Amino acid sequence: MNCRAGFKYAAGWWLIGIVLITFPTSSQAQPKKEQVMTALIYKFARFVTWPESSLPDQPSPLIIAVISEGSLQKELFSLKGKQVEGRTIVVKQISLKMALTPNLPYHILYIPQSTDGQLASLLQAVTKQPVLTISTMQDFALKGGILYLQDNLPTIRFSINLDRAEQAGLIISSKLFRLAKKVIINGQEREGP
Amino acid sequence: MPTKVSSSGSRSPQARLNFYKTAIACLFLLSLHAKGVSASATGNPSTDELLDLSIEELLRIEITSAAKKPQTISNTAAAIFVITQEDIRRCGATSIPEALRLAPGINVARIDGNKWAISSRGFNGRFANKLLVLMDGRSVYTPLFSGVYWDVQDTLLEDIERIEVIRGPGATLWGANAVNGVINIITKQTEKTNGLLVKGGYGSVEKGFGAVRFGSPVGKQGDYRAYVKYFNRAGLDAIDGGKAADDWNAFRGGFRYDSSLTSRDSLTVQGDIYKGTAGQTDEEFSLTAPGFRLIRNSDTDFSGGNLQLRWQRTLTPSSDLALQIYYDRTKRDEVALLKETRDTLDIDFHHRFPLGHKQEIIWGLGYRANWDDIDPNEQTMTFNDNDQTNHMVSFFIQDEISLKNDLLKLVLGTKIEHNEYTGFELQPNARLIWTPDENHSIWAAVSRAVRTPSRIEEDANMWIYLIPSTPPAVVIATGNSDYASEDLLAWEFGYRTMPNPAFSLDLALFLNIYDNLRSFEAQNLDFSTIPDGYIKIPAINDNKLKAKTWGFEVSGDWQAAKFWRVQASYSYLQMDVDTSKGSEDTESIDLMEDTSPEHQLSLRSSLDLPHKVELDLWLRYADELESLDTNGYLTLDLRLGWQPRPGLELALIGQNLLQSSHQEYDPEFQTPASEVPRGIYGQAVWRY
Repeated sequence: MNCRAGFKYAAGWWLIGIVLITFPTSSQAQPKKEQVMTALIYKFARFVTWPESSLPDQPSPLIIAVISEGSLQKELFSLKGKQVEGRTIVVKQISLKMALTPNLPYHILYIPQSTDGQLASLLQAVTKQPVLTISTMQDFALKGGILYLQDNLPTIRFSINLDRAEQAGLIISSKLFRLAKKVIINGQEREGP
Repeated sequence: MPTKVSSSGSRSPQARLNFYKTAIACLFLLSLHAKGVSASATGNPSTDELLDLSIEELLRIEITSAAKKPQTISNTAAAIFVITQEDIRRCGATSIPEALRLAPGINVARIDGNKWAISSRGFNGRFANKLLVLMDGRSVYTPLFSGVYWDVQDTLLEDIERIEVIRGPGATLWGANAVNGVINIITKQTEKTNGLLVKGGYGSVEKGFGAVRFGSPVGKQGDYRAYVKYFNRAGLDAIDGGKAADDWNAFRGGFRYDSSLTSRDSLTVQGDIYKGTAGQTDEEFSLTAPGFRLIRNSDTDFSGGNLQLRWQRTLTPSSDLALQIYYDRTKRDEVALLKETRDTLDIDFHHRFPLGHKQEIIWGLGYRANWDDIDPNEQTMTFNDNDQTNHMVSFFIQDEISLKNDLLKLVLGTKIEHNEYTGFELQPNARLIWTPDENHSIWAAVSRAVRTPSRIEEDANMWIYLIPSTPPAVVIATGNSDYASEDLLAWEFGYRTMPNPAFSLDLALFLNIYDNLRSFEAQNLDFSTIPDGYIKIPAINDNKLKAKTWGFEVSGDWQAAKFWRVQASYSYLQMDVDTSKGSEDTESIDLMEDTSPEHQLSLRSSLDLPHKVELDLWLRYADELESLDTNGYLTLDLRLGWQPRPGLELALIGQNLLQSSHQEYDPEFQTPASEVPRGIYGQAVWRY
């Protein structure tokens, strides 16, 4: 450890100390897991490139579809109207049945806890379509989803299935998979940072 | 805003860098709090604040996992309570009036199978006239008697986003008649109701209900939904034993379309139609000895529809315009009393914009026209004018001023309204809210509100009492075109605290001073009606009562564990009604005092068990109603819900379980009360 890094490290502790001392009540002001996941999904959208066919003209919106109701789905609605790379986010709640209809114009699909059978048919419906599938279901990326958000208390982590992203025609920035906990590439599971 | 160092013990340069960034993120969030950017003075950061962080920072933020706990302290300077869709789902209510029992301080008393007395802070009655009720901004308050026909108000309960319940005056924003409270029923945006929903159920009082709703996107910018529902409910228990004649059924359908026309314009078009029958026993005065009463069972047919258009334009993130137009027709065909058709056209315009850095102005214009066609069935209630058209125009302005770095907020506003009965009405208010930190807020308000005269008070002749002499003498409440508005000066104080994210407490105190309340002033005997078989005692509708009421409501919400939530509320009410200015109407005092419970209590427990099983318990107590000779009651509802697979929800609900039946009210006019029996029903909701 060189001297400079040590200084940074100490400064970091000092900053945290200040926060904890001056805001004793702030230990209660933690964001909800749903809020952080929502912010992450918003950020991810910046590091994913959809093929031109799915986002033709510049003013066309970026559509996030969420299946059924739930606390994360509810929080995702707060992204409505926000801008990503000049596109306005539209959030829609859809039913399981609608998600099974092929060729729907969604860019991001949030899949809630489902049975293995349901998940398989959902992923089948969007296979080879430019849809970024996201879920908090266990082993989502292993089961063929693209982005798995994991509630790893006290923080969140995520895994990416790059093979699936490639099949879907999505280009995922290397920055994103550098931060992932696990990346699946060429059928191999690779541990992240 | 604490963040946590990566749990790995290795101190690689990367880890150190991340750690440093974490600290920066920490400081950044701290600065947000220090600046008071968090507009809602919440205990949690808003998601918007998180969007400015990088992925690395987000991955290091420490999160909480309780999903359903109360998240924010409301920064509204009013006694507001929000009933959420989750509350409605888990309470087992099958109608809007029953769901309103969830709000603290609201007295919901079931009169019979299809009639309710609902009010806040006193003056309850079937024809309670001091509560304003809106559905998606459409007033469902009838100018006929300044109240609500609750049997007509319904929608698919699953489509309700939330019900905002404000106790106390809301007249500055909502206008005349928002005297003791405002109830705003808000349905979901259609983007949240895509897909198919099928619901059905059956039980002891619920004699079959079903609903289908379908929603789908239309193009890239819009979504629609349409629903139909039907229910058939059995009569309750008659007080003298046996079944009452108050069964009820209704069919209803509707649609809603929401669209973002452009990135800054949104449009909503919605409408409903309905048709139904509500039964009752009519008890009317008659000139036939010896009982002088006509008692019979009858069915009231009702039908109607509405169409509403709402356009909203976002000018900047902090300013917008909204224009709303609706048309509503409702038709009520009573066997006793009268037939009524009422058409309403309403146009509302709002504009909100910031003035400098510290002020936000909201102002608006409104116009409402009401056409009625009344067809009295009997001599017990007649009108001088059977068809009336009334116009009302209004203007309001409210200024929200931020002081002391947003810790203190002052709201000043007034409404000026012109109606054809009493002319101009001024309804100002001043509100102050102090939020010293994220965990506490204190507010105070003083407001004036008026209740404008109803059609009946202005124009009707109504038999209100019969003295069984020979010939009988009939006291007839006589419409008075000089009848003035009832007047309220309200003083309110509130305190909210959220000592930790799992617990919140809300307290509101009020002192209401009323003047010009309705009295009936008896006049000299009128013998001109002797050929018709009775002596007339005219009692002119006048404004010679006054009242003071005070009390408080306290409610708490505790997420005791991730799987267990407890909510409790208690309300206390004192009323002192008196005559003024030489009035002799002491009878009416009893119609106002002690017709709302002094004490009310509600305790709910919501438990999430393994295997997607939910167990809900709801204990309610309402004190006796002395004037109405009605006992207090304690009762219990239980709900057992189960989600065997995603999309399917089964529930078994037991209602009013503590006794075989209980009476909640005794109405002031026309119909007798029924007793609410113990009930059980099962239902299935399937979303696909």
